[in-house]
Amino acid sequence: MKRIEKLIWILTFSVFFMSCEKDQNQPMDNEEELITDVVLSFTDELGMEQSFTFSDPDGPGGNDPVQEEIRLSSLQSYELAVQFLDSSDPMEIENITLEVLDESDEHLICYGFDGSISTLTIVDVDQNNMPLGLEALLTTNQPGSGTLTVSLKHLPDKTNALPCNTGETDVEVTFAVVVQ
Amino acid sequence: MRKSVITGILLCLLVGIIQGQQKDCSITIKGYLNDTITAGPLDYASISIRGTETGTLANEKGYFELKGVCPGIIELEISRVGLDLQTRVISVNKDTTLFLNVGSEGVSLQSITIAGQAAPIPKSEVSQTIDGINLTTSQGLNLATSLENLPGVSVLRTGATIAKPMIRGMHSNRILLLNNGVIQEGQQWGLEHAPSIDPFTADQITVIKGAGSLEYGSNALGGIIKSDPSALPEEKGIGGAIHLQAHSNNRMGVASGLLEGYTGGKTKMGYRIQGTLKRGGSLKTPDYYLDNTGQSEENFSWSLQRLFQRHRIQLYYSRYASTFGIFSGAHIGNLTDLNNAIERGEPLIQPDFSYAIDRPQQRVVHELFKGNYVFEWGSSNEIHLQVSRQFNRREEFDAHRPFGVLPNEKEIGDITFEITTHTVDLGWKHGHWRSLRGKMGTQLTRQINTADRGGLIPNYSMNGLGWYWMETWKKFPFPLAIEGGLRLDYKKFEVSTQGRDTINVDSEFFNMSAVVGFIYTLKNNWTIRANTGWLWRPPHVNELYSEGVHHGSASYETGNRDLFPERAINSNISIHLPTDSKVAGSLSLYHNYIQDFIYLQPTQEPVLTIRGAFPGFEYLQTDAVIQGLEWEWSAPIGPLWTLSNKTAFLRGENRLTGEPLIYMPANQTRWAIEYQPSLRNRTFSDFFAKLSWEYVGSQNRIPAHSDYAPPPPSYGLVHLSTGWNWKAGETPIMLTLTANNLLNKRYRSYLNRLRYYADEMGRNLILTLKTNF
Repeated sequence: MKRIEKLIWILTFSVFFMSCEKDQNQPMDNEEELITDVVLSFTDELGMEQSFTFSDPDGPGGNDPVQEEIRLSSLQSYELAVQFLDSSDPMEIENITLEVLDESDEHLICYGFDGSISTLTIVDVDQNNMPLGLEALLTTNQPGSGTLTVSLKHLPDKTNALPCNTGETDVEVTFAVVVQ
Repeated sequence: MRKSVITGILLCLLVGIIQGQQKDCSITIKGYLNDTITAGPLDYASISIRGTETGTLANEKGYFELKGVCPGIIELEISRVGLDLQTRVISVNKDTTLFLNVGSEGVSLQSITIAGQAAPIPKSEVSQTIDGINLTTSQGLNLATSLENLPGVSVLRTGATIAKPMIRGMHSNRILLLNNGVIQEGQQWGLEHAPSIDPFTADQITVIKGAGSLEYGSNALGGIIKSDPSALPEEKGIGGAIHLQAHSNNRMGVASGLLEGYTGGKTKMGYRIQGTLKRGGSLKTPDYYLDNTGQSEENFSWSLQRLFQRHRIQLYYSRYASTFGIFSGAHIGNLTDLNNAIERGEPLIQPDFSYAIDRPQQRVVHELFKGNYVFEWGSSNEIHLQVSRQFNRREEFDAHRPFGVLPNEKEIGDITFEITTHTVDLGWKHGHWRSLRGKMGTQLTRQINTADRGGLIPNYSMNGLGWYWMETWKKFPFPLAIEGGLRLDYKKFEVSTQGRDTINVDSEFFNMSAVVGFIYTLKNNWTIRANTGWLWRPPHVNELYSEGVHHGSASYETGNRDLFPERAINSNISIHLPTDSKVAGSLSLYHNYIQDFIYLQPTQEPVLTIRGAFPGFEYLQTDAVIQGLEWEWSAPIGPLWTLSNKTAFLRGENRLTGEPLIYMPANQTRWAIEYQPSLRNRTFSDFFAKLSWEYVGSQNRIPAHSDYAPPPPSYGLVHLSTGWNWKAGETPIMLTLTANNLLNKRYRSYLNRLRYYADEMGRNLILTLKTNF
């Protein structure tokens, strides 16, 4: 009896000190991937394509994002396509747009504009035939300047009167626009 | 290698301890008799042990000694001319010094059980305890909520389920939480990181406010919360308790049970196993359900104690595992979303009730294992050694599954931290030595944090070494007691990596803290307690290094590597009515000056990210003052009714800018009237009904440009609780029914971080059933 008792105590204490700590210098498993780049491609009626990028490869904080100015011609209509990329690792750029498409019913791309942009209409739809916004039609005004804000909403209420005021914002970038 | 050496040392210790010991009658009980009426010594009374021939006569100072007492439960009989015969039941297993208060009136006194303990050392600090029925009825909620109705304690919430306690405006790293004698080491920095403790493991929870005990650590600038289980049984037999609770608001069910016993005979082993299950669904405000606010908890603990004549050895293990849904309406991507939510005024999604816990959510596991060895001798001398290991894993799941992960990784948290802490405590307590009683000890801590995912907090290891010495001088019956203490601390952080960056910076902190205090008993038995402490707290890793967006609060936080320790001068004075008078009460005043107080200051420019612009906050230091006034009293109105009030006022100020401090609790008061008829029959007893009114003022004192919406207005809530004991055959059953927010009032609290998005919980009826067997 005594010996068994002794053994129980010894074992319990040994377990305590054997319980190991993790090596704190192990590499990070798989850090969450970010959207670092938003690429807007404009195709005019002649089939000419231009791209403008908002890029923040090191994520929030650190270096400031790099942002291109959008230059368009006046009184034209353009097909607009949006791409979201993860370029945090330059050797392996990932296209997040495909994942947005995969879960298209959970996403909505919203646009805000002013100045020389005249109209903007979403042309594509999600799995439930509701607007998605990866593709849009845009027309320009007389020469001048303006802004174009592109945001990606997660889990918006697409039946709401103002669907862009709902959901969680994954992306929100504002481009300066010059129309010549 | 090092581990095996330690194991070896412990083995030697154990082998030394494990030696059978005979039960012998050689215990000496010394004591002082104090007359509660005259506040002086009760002289020449006769003291004897019932059923034996052991007895003695106290001297003119009320001092007596009983020799040759056998261990076990004994009944002391105290008799004197002009005094009714009085008895005290105590359990003794070692030499003991008692301070017995004997009232000349005698009759109304209840039997007091002093479990083999000398009278406690008088303390200059203000402490309050929650136990018995007050703890029982609130245990199903969470630890912080159990303490909420103590004056000076508030609760900082993230939704209704995630709650952390705040003592006099201080929380997180500025208070210490002791779980069964071990400092809780989790990830207590975050506002949404609630303490991972099962309240059902506690038999009583004590809050020590202000400076007082240096025994546990120096960084308790606000105070200490101790959660203690009851002592393990020391009488042969098996017993247990079942505790069931049902909540109406979120249809939550809680079941907790424990089984304990003592083997007696030669093994002399006390044991207990305890477990709690909890499952709750969507919370409901007066008007709507809150989406994804379910919770679940599975906790269990066991403990073992082996008693020897002079030694005691104890093992304790507890595991806490919880999953909390985070209200989805509060999960926002950027400032635009936040402003949309504030403008809407109520959540967009108002679903039906559900028990499902979806994303966003947090899962926390906390394990505590400790071994404790105590050696006692003479009158209240002891040496104790305690070793502990804690492991805390926290996973946070964003509303949005991470992009670009493999399907089998989708159940892995977006942020995962694991923190492991080992401590060794060695302490020595000494009984009377020329009117001095005190303790000295040393503590060794090693902590390692590993971030598996997410780079908000870096990986680090921390080593700490502390040494303390506290003494109390009290010469009975002189009415003044004086206490003093000193503490030295060394802490070293080694920060290795953060996300994908390598930091490799070491920071070291060394400092001294001290406390002095006194307790003075006035002629009418009122006591005055006062103390001043010089305390310090080194900056924690989150304050030094955090970098990133807090999505819940739509802010971008930047750590500051140049921070230095906070230094506080914490002064308290309080006056207490005698504990045996009909009117009970106390009043305390405090002033806490903190030099280099670490806080978050809004930056001039917002931080531009691909998710939009976020207001920036950086950690800065200032000189701060937090001061306040608290009181509580209760008075009988006639024989059946009791009226009571608890009130707290608090002011926090940033001395450099002249602005108030952010997140300070508003002034509040709580009135209660309780009805306790003395009806009593065989099956029905101890009925009570208590109606209370809680009023919380509006926090108008906030710094400019620090908040997205103005603080919510003041509110008053009505609560009702009632209960009685009931005997089903021979089984005692305690039944209580509590209605919180009885009138289903719509309100928001300044200290709830989700106040921008939704109202607080509406009416909640809680039915509690507890039985012991």
